[in-house]
Amino acid sequence: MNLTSEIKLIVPAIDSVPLMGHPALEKILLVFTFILHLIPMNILLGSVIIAVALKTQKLIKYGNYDLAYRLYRDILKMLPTALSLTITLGVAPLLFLQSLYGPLFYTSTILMAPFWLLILAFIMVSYYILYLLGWTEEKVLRPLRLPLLLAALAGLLYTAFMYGSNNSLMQAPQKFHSIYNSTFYGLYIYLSDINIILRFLHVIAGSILIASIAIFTISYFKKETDRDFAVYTADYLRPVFLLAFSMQALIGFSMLFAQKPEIYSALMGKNVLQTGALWLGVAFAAVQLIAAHFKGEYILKKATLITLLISAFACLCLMAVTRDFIRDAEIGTAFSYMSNPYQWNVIVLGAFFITLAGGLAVCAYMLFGLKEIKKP
Amino acid sequence: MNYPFWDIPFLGGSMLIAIIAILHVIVSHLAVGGGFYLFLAEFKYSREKDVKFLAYLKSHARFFMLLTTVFGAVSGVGIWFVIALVSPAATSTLIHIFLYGWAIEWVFFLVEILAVILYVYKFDSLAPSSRMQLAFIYMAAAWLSLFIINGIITFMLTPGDYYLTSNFFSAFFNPTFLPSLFFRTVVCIAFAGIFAMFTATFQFEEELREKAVKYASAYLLPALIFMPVFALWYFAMLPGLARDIVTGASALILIFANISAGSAFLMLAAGIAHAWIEPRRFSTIFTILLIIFASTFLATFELVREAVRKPYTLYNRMYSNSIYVDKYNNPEIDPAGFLANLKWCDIKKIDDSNMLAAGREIYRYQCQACHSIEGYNAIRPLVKYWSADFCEASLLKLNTLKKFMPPFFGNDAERSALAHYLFSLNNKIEDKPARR
Ligand code: HEC
Repeated sequence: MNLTSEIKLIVPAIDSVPLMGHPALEKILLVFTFILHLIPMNILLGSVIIAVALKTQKLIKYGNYDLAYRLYRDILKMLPTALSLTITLGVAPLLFLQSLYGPLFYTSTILMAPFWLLILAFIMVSYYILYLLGWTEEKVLRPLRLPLLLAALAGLLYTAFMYGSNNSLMQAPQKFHSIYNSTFYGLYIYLSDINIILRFLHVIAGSILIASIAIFTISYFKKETDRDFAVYTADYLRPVFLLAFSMQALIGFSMLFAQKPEIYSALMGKNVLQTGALWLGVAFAAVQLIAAHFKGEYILKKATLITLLISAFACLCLMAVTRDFIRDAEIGTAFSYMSNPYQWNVIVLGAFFITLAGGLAVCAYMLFGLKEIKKP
Repeated sequence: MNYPFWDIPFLGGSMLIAIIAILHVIVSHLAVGGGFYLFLAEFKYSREKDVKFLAYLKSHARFFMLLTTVFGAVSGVGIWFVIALVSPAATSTLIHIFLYGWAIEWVFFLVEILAVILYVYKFDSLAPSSRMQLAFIYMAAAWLSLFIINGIITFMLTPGDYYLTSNFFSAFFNPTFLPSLFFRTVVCIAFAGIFAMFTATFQFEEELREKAVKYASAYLLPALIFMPVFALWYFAMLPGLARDIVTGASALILIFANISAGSAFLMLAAGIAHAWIEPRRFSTIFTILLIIFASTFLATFELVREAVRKPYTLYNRMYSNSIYVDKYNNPEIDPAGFLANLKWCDIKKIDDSNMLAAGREIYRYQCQACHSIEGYNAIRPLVKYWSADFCEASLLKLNTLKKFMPPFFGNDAERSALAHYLFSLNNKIEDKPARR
């Protein structure tokens, strides 16, 4: 018996209403806005993990209790904002994802509907916990603080896991029909793919890397007023970074080897652009590793910080591009986002780009242009 | 039928959407109205320089941020999640039509969130003029996001001539766009006033409390004066069937509409009267009562608004059960029958061995969008005393039986199978085992 003939491939038809621009444009916007979302998302997840580490090590072990406590407090204070921005910046990629991959995305979420919806409840609870701990910690009973922090972390990990699981399911349309016929009420979690676990670990390790760079950046800007703190933070974060980096290298290469042969070979030379993107990304990761190794005076140099930030951002972008390539390669011939009908609507597109430019300008103004009161 | 069906026991999809949507709508109207409040209150401070009022504004803003940036944002994403699960086909159409409208809305949303976060966290360190700028940016961005979303929501009910012209702007600036925008704007402002009354009751100093309560009550005035006007205008622009539904074709919806109008009047009149007659005795309990009125008003309003769209999800284009209205000119639809179009169902030919199973599937995809088996708008009691033949005959005229039901779609064998299934809900019958 030929097994493949038993698999019934069902992919819902694409909606016939045309998009207002070529699908490639939506694709670019998808990747661009996804990168914007990844920044606060990684900072958030990684920082919570680092905060848990600081808290469970009882702080004291790490030399200076005072500095360690301040580091912990500084991290906690930025978490609610990081979460708000993660949600806000996550909306756009979700929108473009739906516009291009609707038939796959809607189906895969329906198959796991209750678990998908639960994400929202978990995010909300995590936010309020992080706000309580970040801004009103003194009102929270001491023995409850660590469990609450862990609960917030669990909520975020749940979210990350479900997103990964749904993303993997979405790119396996050949499994939709049998899953639909063997489950009830959408009570299904897609686990039967080694990549889901690897991707999940990849997100966690990556978030620790990005968060440690972000936290370091914040303390860097305090180096004039508080040099001890800046040095302490750099010294604390270095081993964290190294550990996460080694994990990430291990996971990353495992993911590469776990790819289907045709994807693997595309990433190993067959497809010049994709190979270039992946390995340039790896190169930028290596640059971060070297920069993070600087000690004492050197780590607090402006050039070091800029190197770290640029290489981390470049690495993130290239990995996002690689990830997107793998998605389309996995889906293969079952579906192509390029089949979405379109009809240019220059006025609406123009309105969007003008609003986007204007909106970003207003954001820049709010961040850098407002007047502060001079404190005596 | 393009997408698989998500079976939600008891509640059914429309009720689940309603629950999440109502929570979101209450908070999001507050989020928009709160912008007007922050800016105008900043303006008041800039003229009076009352530091106590400023301190109150600070605590008000923090609470406001906690409610709107997360609860508002997450429940908004929640509506999206849930409509995509319950009506994926309609959601997909909406996203294709309005993709860049939504993208523009997202930019406003981003600006709005950043503005309120900076406003709250930098409240003490910013120069007053900068704080006022932030409040202004927040107010503008929040209202503009209402402006965009309003175009998309009203389109579902009154598509104008979009399906003839395919013109984005005739979809967006559809017949109910303006009345709905004005109506929602005054509601937003009133909600901001009520919320400010609530936070004001936590101020210990009587004088400050009185001042803040009185000031907040002014926000209820525009709604008291203009809401009836905008509501009537909105009503006048509805399709005939929708107007019938509110005015009595469905007793339940008529009751809801009355509750909605009644609670709106109570919240506005009671709020203003108490604030002017005895502002000092304004209590938290009383403001909670006002919030309950406000929530009842908006919740029932949204339920009515959803109900009058029946039998459609996208008016004149797609029924609530995701079936296209114009089936026979649609190349994607096989006129041979319903099951032929049902991608996710393996039964294609009905016989004695699969009659109930086929009926069950047809029920899921044609009826369950509005009828749970037992629970919300349950079907079991509705057909309790119906014979199989009566069921079958009724299916021929579903859309005349109740005008807010779509017609049955399918061939005679499918109609029998569905009738058979409906009959089985109250009577014991089983499929015959297949003969080999
Ligand atoms: C657009 C939503 C919607 C859809 C789809 C729908 N119905 Fe209804 N149906 C209603 C509403 C609302 C009522 C009124 C319930 C009431 O009066 O309590 C109703 C009433 C009924 C009744 C009772 C009629 C009477 O005279 O008392 C029956 C029977 C019924 N529906 C069967 C069906 C069947 C079978 C289907 C699928 C083919 C279906 N409905 C699809 C909304 C819908």
